[in-house]
Amino acid sequence: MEKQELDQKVLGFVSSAYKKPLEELSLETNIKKDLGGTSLFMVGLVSLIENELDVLLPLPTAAGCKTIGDLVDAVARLM
Amino acid sequence: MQLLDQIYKKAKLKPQKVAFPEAENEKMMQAAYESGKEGYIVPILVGNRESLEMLLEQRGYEPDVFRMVDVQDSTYRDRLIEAYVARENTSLKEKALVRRMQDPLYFAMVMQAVDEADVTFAGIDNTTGDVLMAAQMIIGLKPGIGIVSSIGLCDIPGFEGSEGSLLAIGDSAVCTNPTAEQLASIAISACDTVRALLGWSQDAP
Repeated sequence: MEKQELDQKVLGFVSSAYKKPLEELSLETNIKKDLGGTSLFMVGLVSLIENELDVLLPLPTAAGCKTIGDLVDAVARLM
Repeated sequence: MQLLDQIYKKAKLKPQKVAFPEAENEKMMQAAYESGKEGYIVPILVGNRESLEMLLEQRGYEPDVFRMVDVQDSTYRDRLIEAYVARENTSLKEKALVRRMQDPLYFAMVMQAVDEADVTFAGIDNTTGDVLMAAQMIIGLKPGIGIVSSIGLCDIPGFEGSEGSLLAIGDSAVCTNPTAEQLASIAISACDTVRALLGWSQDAP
């Protein structure tokens, strides 16, 4: 998958999991500071990523990502 | 009656099926054996069958105290997955579940989600955070509960409260800096837990 396509997919997953409009998100969005939410949101996001991209993303890895861009990089390493 | 005696008595009336996904751990296996032997629970060891059987023999535990689930048993795994995805509001699809269930922790959680186990007991090899995240991913939160929390039960010599020397403290292990809404949710969960576990009620005697 091309990087740009992966970026868009992950942004879409974040939008869906955190119930934020896609246009308010970018790769620079800080997951904790800008999106907030409990670990339940992160768990929902990881489930989406795993279902749609056929990877196993360890929850601590996902939780350790500062920005959405970091999350994309973490997913890319698994693909 | 002492606190633990109350809990033991209650447990023996209706022993729950308890999944132990960290059963190779010496302390976990000991806990599973002793509580199963006393009749408090039905212990289910979840892991690699060959390793578990070898360890049971080495440690001198009678195998018939336990039920055993082999995470390599693909027939049983697929039956669990079929039951799991048939539920409403499940998060993971089949392929993702197959990957996750290679980990005994997730295997045990799926068992619990489809009532093959009543509860999962873990947190000695996995961190508390890992266990809570796995539970949120596979089992989810009870309707009406907004946040995962815990209570600590204290038996304080010299303390005299509405429940004698006993005091429940919520939450001292999971939530840092809860919002007002989260604190309310924690309080509700704490009350539900002490009511279910110990019969505490706000109604005057």
